[in-house]
Amino acid sequence: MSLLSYTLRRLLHAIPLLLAVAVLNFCLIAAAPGDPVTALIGDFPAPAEYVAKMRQDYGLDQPLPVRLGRYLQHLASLDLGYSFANRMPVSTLVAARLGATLKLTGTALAVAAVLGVALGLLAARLGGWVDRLVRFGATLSYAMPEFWLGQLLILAFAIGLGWLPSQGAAPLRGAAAGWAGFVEGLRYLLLPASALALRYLALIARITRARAVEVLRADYVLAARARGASETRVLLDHVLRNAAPSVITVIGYNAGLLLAGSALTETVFGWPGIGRLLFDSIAARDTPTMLAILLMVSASVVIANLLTDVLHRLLDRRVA
Amino acid sequence: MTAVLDIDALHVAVAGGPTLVDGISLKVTAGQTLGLVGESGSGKSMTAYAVLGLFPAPAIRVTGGAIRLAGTDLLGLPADARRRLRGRQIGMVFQDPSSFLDPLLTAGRHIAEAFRAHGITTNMPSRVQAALARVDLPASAAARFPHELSGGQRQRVLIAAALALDPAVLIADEPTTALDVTVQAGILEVLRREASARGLGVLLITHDLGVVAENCADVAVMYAGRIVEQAEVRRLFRAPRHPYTQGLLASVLDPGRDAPPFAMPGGVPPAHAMPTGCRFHPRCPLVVAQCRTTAPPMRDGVACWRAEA
Repeated sequence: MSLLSYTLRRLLHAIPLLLAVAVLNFCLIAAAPGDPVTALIGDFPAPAEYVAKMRQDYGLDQPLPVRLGRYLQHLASLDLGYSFANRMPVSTLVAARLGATLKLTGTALAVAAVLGVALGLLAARLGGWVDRLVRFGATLSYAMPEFWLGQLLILAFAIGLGWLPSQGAAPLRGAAAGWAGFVEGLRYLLLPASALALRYLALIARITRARAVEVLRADYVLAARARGASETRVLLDHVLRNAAPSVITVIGYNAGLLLAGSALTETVFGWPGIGRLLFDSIAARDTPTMLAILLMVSASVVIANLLTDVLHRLLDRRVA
Repeated sequence: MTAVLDIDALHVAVAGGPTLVDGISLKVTAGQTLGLVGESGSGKSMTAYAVLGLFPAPAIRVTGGAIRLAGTDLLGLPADARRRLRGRQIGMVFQDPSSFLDPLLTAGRHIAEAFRAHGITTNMPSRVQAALARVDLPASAAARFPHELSGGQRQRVLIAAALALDPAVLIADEPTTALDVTVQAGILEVLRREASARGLGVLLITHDLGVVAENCADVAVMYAGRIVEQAEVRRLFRAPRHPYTQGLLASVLDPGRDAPPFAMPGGVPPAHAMPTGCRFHPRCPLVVAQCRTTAPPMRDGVACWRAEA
């Protein structure tokens, strides 16, 4: 089967999956206590008729199947709904926050992949105490939740040493222009990206090391050395290439880890992204925003898995 | 003729452990194919790895003797100098072509790797094609992945890569053992042709006496890390002198003979529990007291107390 038809078939399979996710999310949130109206009113003693009127206006007085049907109907026309809490369309709200999340997760992913693969290869190649140190560090890092690590980083580098800012993606007075602004952006990015990258990095380092150790013992590596290939060439041409499918699989299949971690990291660091928006929308019982973000996360995971499988096939032609 | 490869009293051992190769000496001259025969575990492959300077496990090392390539002792060379001899002066072909080819690289990349390892980077497509042509593979094979090739074709790719830089010595470690009988002859024909065309010295490691009979001028028989008999091939087949060689020859299936092939009792002793004296004595039908205590020296091409001169 060609790669193109495989990709198309997988994309078609993703549609019922995402539909099921949308229905499940909707029902779960409907089953949770509280609704946007109670959240909007808060503790204010509103008359019962006013509350009933609000519920009617927002269509919350309809039975669940009707509301679900209307939600799916809107989804089908790519309408993500209206945020009660923020008084603007969810799509506008999400679009404004998407850039910040992509910047954070993209940086974390790049750092985790590059450093993770490098550390894994180094551990496999050198063995001994370097190997033990990398494995110990990876296990320790993987065991650390992002929100806790994030708070430790803030305590140490923002409050203790005062080197880096702890909240937000840019200074409140607005970002500087040009090169200075870029460097300033990096200073804001460093702590949250590190907190988010670490667990992922640990995972990538471990799988890279495990695969590299295996490949270094393979007969074809012995044959490459017998042809006079240097250890550097062996590492780059054989070990890296043969470890890549497994590493990419781990990176892709754990994209959900990165997204979940992003919600926690953004909350701890006041990062103005999707994750922070999700946290706020849960607090405000802002159902449409919650649903939109959950569906986007699910779609991202599905796409990440699909990309992983396609890349895997490109790298290893034996996979049917 | 002087030896292009001269292995002199080579010892190989596991660090702090048993000896795997115990003082063997072999000479391969240019254009000659020397057969090295023995059961698995006899130390044949370890001898080959010692010549390459590569062992499959880091704990295995050369503990004595010399390996001279055109007069230079390899064991005294620094690691990088030895690496530069691999592929360029010493080619190696392995037993199982499917596991010795990288599954993610095309056939052409394997051959190109041999050139690149020695700093040759120009005209790669034509170099690869020429190397493939020498082993009777079409130019189109360069773009094939190992899983798209047959076992025989894979072995030809490995041979092409091993011979790409015209080495002086080729070590072939059981090159046909993992292949179908029908393709074995083709592979051996390629090896024979290339050896005679280039004046290549070949060390052909095998457990198959039929392969030896057809390809080698001389043969050394190895048992438990030592050479027990070394002779010109026809002489060895006509009149084997060591009881182990006699047993080996009798165990070959011969349709012209009425008696079933002889199954030699016992097996090669493990490296950590080598018998004293002659290492073959526990399995030897001719054993006497002396065999149990003292190892027989190599005399006139045979290491046996009971061999008649």
